[in-house]
Amino acid sequence: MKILLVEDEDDLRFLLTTALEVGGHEVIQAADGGAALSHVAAPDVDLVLLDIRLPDIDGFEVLAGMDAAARRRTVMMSAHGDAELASRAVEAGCAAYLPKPFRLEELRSIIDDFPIRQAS
Amino acid sequence: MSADAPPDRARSAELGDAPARRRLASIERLAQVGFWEWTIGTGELIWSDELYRVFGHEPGDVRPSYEAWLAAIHPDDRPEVQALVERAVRTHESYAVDHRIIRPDGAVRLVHGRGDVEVGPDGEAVRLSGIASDVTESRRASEHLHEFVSEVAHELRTPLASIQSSVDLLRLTRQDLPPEARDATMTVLGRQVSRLRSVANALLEIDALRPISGGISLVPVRVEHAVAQAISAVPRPDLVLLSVDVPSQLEVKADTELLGRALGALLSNAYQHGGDAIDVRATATDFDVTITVEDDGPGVDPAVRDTMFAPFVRSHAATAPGSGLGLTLAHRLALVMGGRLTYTSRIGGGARFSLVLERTDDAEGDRL
Repeated sequence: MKILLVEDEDDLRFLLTTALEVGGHEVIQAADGGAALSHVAAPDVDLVLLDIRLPDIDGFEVLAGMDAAARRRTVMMSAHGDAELASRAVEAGCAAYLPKPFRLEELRSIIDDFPIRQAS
Repeated sequence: MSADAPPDRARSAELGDAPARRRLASIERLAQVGFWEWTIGTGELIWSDELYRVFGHEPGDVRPSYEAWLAAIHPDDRPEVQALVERAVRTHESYAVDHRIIRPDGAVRLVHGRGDVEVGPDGEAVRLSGIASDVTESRRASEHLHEFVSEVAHELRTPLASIQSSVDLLRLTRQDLPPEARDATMTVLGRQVSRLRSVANALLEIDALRPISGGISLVPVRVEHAVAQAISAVPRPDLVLLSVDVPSQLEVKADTELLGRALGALLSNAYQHGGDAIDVRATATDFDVTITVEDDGPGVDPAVRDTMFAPFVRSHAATAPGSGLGLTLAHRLALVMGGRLTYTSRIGGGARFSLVLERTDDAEGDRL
């Protein structure tokens, strides 16, 4: 699976990239919203892992720059653990919300349930 | 529903003899709660002195009336409040409501009101009485506190997310993880644990986080006293030379405890990050007093100037101790007191923090 990882914390980005690569996935890394937007339109991204708090624009603004199909392939993550944010993420059309800290098994089960995109 | 009695008589009528009235007035003033009473049959309305003040009037300067009261309520909140009062008269149920008012000077304030119905022998509502208190500052303070707690939670969860992922990665990928990735993961683990430790230390060392005893009460506070108290409360490093220039007559609208904490946070910041010469001074216009704390240190890192009042922001170059919370708190305390805190770089280097608060002493005194 090809995964776009949008996370501004260097350490967490490194850890998640390593875990996903060990799991056999290909990872594109973005450290801010601007970099994320330049990748979201890529036709072969199967899943976007999107942090909400980013240094330039926030995750919801990144989400607003995506089409509905891309939003359905997005899992939002945040250390702001309130329920309001989770429902806002789902209402905005993304597939799931993962509150930080999360276990890698939780991430893995979300990814395992995710359909791989059919080449169009 | 308007009162026909002259305002003075209306205010004093039925509120008891002179000593009792004086005691009541003291209680009201200290508690900052105004009282009103409306006799439904005659339409007579009594406002206590403090009720006038809550609504931005001087006691007796308007004739108390239901219409005047209703007109002061923010138009967006008026229908709800009106409906509650009408329902209370109809059903004899008491009510409690937070609503906004607009004072004659245009200031929008948040008021907590409660009302109670007195029922006559025939089962009809005879009188409606109630209290109103201005809760603008305490509401603002709890909103700031809520935001702050949410920031702290975020600051704890962020390193925890990396710690959790590190542990899981080491656990789940025993053989699959290349040795260099394994070493890097261990390094991340150590770094994020230190980060967590420094957040915990920051929370403990922040004096300004002590719970506020009692409510917030914005009263005239002598700047000279507040500055002197803050200086004696914050331990000063040996080499720091402190000069103070505060005109003795200046007074500001502030909460004594919050102002002390704000000034203490500014002094701590100057002691930790400034140079060895620190100036504290107060200047005034007719309306405001500006208390500045200046140092001759390196000034605030331009990279963090826009975000310096956000929690946990520290200069990237900072090696001095500090939590990244002191300026946040000083800034929020300034807002809670209806003032502001700004930063300017000092010509020739150094930082200047200006705490601006509303002046309460008579500016005319300056010119005599």
